[in-house]
Amino acid sequence: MASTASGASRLPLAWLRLLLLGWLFAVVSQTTCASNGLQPLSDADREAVAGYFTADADGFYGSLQETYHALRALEILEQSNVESQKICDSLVGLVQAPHDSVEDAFHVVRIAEVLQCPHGAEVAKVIVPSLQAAVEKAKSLLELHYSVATIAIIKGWSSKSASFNVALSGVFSSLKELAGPDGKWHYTKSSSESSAKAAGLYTFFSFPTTAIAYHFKNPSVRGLQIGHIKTAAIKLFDNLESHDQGVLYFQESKDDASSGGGGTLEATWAVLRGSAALAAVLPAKLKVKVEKVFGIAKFLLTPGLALNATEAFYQLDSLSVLEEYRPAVPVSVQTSSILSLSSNDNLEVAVTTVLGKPVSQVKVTLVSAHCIGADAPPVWSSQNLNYVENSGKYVFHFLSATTDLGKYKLSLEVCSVKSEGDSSYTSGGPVKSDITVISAIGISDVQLAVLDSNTGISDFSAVLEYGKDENITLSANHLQKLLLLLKLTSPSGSPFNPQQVFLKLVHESHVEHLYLVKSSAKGFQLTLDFLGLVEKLQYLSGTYNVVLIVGDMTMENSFVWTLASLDLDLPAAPEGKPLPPEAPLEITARVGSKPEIAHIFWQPEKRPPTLLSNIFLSLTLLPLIGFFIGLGYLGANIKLFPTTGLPGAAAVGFHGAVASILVLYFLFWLKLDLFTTLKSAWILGLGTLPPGHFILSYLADSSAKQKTA
Amino acid sequence: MGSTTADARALVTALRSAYAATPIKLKIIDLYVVYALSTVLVQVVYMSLVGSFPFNAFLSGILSCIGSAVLAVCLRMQVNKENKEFKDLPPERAFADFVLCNLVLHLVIMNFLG
Repeated sequence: MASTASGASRLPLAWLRLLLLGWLFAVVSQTTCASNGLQPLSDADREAVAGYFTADADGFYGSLQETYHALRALEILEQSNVESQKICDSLVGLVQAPHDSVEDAFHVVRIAEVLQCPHGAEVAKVIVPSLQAAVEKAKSLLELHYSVATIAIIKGWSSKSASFNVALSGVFSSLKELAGPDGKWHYTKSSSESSAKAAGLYTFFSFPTTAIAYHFKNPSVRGLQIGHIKTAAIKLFDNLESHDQGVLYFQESKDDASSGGGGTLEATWAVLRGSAALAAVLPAKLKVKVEKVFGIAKFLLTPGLALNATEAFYQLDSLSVLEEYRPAVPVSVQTSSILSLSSNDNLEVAVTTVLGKPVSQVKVTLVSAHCIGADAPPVWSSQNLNYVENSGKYVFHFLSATTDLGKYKLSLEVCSVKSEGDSSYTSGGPVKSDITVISAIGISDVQLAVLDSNTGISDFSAVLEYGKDENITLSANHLQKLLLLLKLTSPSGSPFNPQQVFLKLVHESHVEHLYLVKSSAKGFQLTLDFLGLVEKLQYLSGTYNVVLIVGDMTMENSFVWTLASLDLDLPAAPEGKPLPPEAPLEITARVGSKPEIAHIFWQPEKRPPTLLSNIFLSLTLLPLIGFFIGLGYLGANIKLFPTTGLPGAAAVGFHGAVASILVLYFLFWLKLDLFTTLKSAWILGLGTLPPGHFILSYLADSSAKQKTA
Repeated sequence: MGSTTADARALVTALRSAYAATPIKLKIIDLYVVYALSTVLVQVVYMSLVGSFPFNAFLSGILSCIGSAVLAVCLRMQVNKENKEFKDLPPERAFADFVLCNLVLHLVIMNFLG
């Protein structure tokens, strides 16, 4: 931002307007900015996701699984417009129909659990017999999962708990077979590749399974080693794939695709659910690195992550797991970005879970606060923030009488308040944020005067008060100067130097001129000498609005203030090109079509009329006719023309050759070029030479003979 | 006044009788020169009427006639028996030169005519 532009030069208007608007906007909109990169689920995302679930006529949302997904998702979003009564009533009927797989029973039971249906006992009564058979038959991880999970849910509803024991022992032996040697699991005994999802699913139900076993005191449980499961669960998190900006997620493997796809979201959800189930019941804590948890949280909070209902369920369920995640609960830390000195704002820090619920069991410490740009020691260090019950935020009294205006860099730390049984919260490391301290600036001693150029005596002067609308009219001509003085003070009383102070002259025809007002020890001052500016103002006389523009990032009351109306009298433009006043940029005037150029071509010379030319052509031939007549008159004859023998032939040849040369010349005039003509003339000349030489020497000999004779 | 006209008349008559004594060959050449020069005259009159555009055509026309006239005069000088200077030059040779020079002249003229 240029604050040191030199001279009272005219500055481009467009970028100034943009800047001023930007500042005013930034000051006016007090938006909070997330400072640790984690923003809780936004309202836009909530709405989008809720929109994926549309109920059918009978209250269900498609298949049983889809219905469960919808109900659970809507429960997390705290939307209560589900027809729970209708669904519960139809559940009993669904369960009574014969099933092919235990999967349907599993979904029914889950729906009943979510809606807290009162028909639990009836449902359990119907399901239990088929469940036992299904458990004995189950061979793959998924089937085991469905059967055992169903048992885990309905065990509280039915009194026939003893019959489960037999079924469960079969489950555990199958489980052992599926556990791999290196801590990874497979879908079935035959599949070779392990997957994070399989691992997640395993842990998802493995501990509830084990818990059931403990509850029923099943002897075969002792074979299963809890430690083995725990190590394996931690190894899960080694499979995390990373993306940029710290986002981590689980990648699915080929086997996952065969069990119904779902991709990275499903794999991530499965691992989270599994590890949460395990951590919920283990005596010691499940040690997962906090950065990994944070990375997964970032992945789950990616805007627009869920593209359909199933993905929405996975996202929401994973987020709800993260809200109470035993290893560490990721929290989002957001600070206020602008603090106003005039309203004595407090620094407010909002600490929330990923779904937006405020967290009060943390300690927030302001580690340091530095003023950006200054090398001074930190303004604050190691200060604790206090939790305010009503707003759910942590506040700190940041501002004091001596706080400077400007930008500050804050470093915050969020630690869990340690107590048994509570989750530990993580913010993913120290939290960095920027805040701006702003204030209202005092404007005083505003003076506008018209001085005489030569003497400096003021012809007119006015003292203006900011905030009061006084319609002052000044008048000046080109022999005078306009003087502006003003003082700006910050709340601490020291002079304030904003980033931009401008004076703008606006003509009634909307032509604008901008001048920079420079600061000095005594305040801001600008002198406009109209004598020197006459040409720049393009000799435009008339009424100008004198407008003062002051703005800064830390100024709450940046303003555009019309000081006065100035009647300016300038001399007329000199003769010659009148300078067109520079109106606001008209794009079409510059790129529109230019006037058409009328080319003036070379006019052909005037030729004489054809008749005249023909007359003179015949006149030219007259002397020739006269020549022949004269020849006849003189008695010229060609009696001596040799007729017989070689001399005759030579004579004819000679005349013929000369005639042919003349014909060649005629053709040359009509259409041949010089080179062809020269070539042909050369040949014809050679042809003329022998007969010519012969006949002429013959005639010379014969006349010499006559002389001597 | 009367004596000058009488003198002029006497002069013309003397010239005419002297001219009649010239050989026919020379008279033919003289006639040819007169022909050439009269053609020049016609062209100049035409040019004065309609202007000199195209100038190259005008020049080539004029120079063709004048060139022919000049060559004819040279031929007359060489053929004239009374001219001691060209005593040893056979007239056929002079004529051959005349023809050649004319051909060259007219080649240049044709080129310049355009």
